[in-house]
Amino acid sequence: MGSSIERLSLGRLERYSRGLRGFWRSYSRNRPAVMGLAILFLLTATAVLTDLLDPYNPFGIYPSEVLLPPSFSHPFGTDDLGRDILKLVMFGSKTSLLVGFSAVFIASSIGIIVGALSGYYGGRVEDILMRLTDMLLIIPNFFLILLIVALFGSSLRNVVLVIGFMTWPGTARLLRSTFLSLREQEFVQAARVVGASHLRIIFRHLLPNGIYPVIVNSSLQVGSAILTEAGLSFLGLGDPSLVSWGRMLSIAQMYVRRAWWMAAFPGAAIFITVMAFNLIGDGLNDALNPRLRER
Amino acid sequence: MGGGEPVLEVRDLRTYFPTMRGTVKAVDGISFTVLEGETVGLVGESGCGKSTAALSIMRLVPAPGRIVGGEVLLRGRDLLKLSEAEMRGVRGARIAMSFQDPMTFFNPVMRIGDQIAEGIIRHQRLSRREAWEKVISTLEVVGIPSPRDVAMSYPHQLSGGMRQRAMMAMALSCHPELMIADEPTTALDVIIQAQLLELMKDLKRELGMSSLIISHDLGVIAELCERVAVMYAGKIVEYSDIRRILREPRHPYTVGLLESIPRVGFKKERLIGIEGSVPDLIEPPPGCRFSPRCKYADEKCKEDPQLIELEEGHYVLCHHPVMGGG
Repeated sequence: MGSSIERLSLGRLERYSRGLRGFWRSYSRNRPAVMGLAILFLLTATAVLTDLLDPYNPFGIYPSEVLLPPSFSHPFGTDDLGRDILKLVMFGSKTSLLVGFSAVFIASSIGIIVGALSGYYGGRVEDILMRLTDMLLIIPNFFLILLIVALFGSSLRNVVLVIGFMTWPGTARLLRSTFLSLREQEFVQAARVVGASHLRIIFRHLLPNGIYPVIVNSSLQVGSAILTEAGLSFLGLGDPSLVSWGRMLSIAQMYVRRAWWMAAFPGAAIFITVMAFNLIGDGLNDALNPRLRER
Repeated sequence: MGGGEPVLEVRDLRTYFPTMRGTVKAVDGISFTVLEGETVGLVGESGCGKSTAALSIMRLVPAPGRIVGGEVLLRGRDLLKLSEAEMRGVRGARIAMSFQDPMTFFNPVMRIGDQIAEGIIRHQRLSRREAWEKVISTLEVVGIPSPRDVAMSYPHQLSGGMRQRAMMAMALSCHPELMIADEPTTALDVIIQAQLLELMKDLKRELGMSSLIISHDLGVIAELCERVAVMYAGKIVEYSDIRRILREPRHPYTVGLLESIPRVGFKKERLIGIEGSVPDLIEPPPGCRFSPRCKYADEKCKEDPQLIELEEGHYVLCHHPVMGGG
């Protein structure tokens, strides 16, 4: 009993790891993408470890250490309340990653469902869903986000929800166009012929075929979600109870002549983080694109 | 042969495609029967509606096409009256279908075994493990030498002939009462074609399954079928058993089809094609649709011909059936 199924599952594990290895081989050929991934690991580690290792209160006020330039004890200098910029930047990474990943998770989920349904069914379903998508696309995104946050308050949850619900149209359009060509494939007909339902065809047959561009796009979107959050915080509409790179920049405006380090380090952090996600997206595109992948 | 109960009866089936220019009558009132254990061929050139006829039987006509009339009786029950959910229970389980190109037929990112198991799990309510055992035994039935390895492979890792066999296995996996094979050999080279024809004959002998073979290749039809329906421009123009069609074709179109097949051993004979091409199905020629290409056509052919039974079981849709062999 079970000998064959053991063989099968062993085979699956083996093939899975072989697939992973193949993926890594083509991903790692893109050096900048590997660097992007390294930066992401570093950021994640920072975000997790700051909390664990240093229960330092970022909201304290240290009047004796106000606006100190970078030095050995404060490598990034201190801000107008005497707080260590390095530590603030480290705390900020948590906010940025949290906003980036959760907003994109929401946006991708909605985008995948809308794109898959409208691409597969076409007709009236597509008309309705795509006009809705177009409506969101023509509204200047940032201003609507601004409006909603201003109206409903600027908690982290609201910021995440708003960015997530405003940025799915890109994903939806992308997946729809993939599905438009995929649904004409004969294997869809074949699945119908053996009695598969529409939902089964969409999620079991078509999605695994069309998900790669969405993965690439999502990694780019993480970067832009982080940027949006920074922008909101810069305008004073971020969550006031959290450290955020955008808010640090906003405060730094007032001191930019006297204390360049207050703006330079959070700015650099935003730049590096967004760049890392773009590099990763680029690498994923190379590694997942079947036309570029070696056979 | 055959002679049992009818498994499939198609009566006056009509499938139309509304387009910007007008309605394309792809299948325009065809009727035929497949008896228990019998193999029936549906032959005709590209665009004559034979694939649409097959998809109509499965109720899978692509939009904007619609079945506008007729009956499709599977053991006396009209499939056109079933709900979509009931129809899903018929597809794959009671009527299976295989397609022309086995490369595009399989999902490129799913293992062959998983794809075959899908129907088994759905229709026979077996566990994954039991379904895989069935997959492997079915792959063995269609003559695949190492069924386990094939079940574990992805479609692109198999050769064309292997894929065609795997597709047969997929169609056979739930023991359907009727198998529809759409151009089963067209995408294959001659040697693999011959092997597949042998396999299909073996399967027919062993399983006693009823099947409907769709092909433009009268040679394939002649190998496999007892009866054949010749389709032209959405209509069945001649319908009889295969021997009579080959020896004494009555419809000028069938005569033309037979003359266009090269025969070994008749060196000096020139191949004769049929002049012209399939008519526009939006505005078909009045009366007999073959008349513009027919050398026997006259004024009478401007009227719609009726299907006449020349001898027992030999039907022709023609005002001037050819007599005395082609």
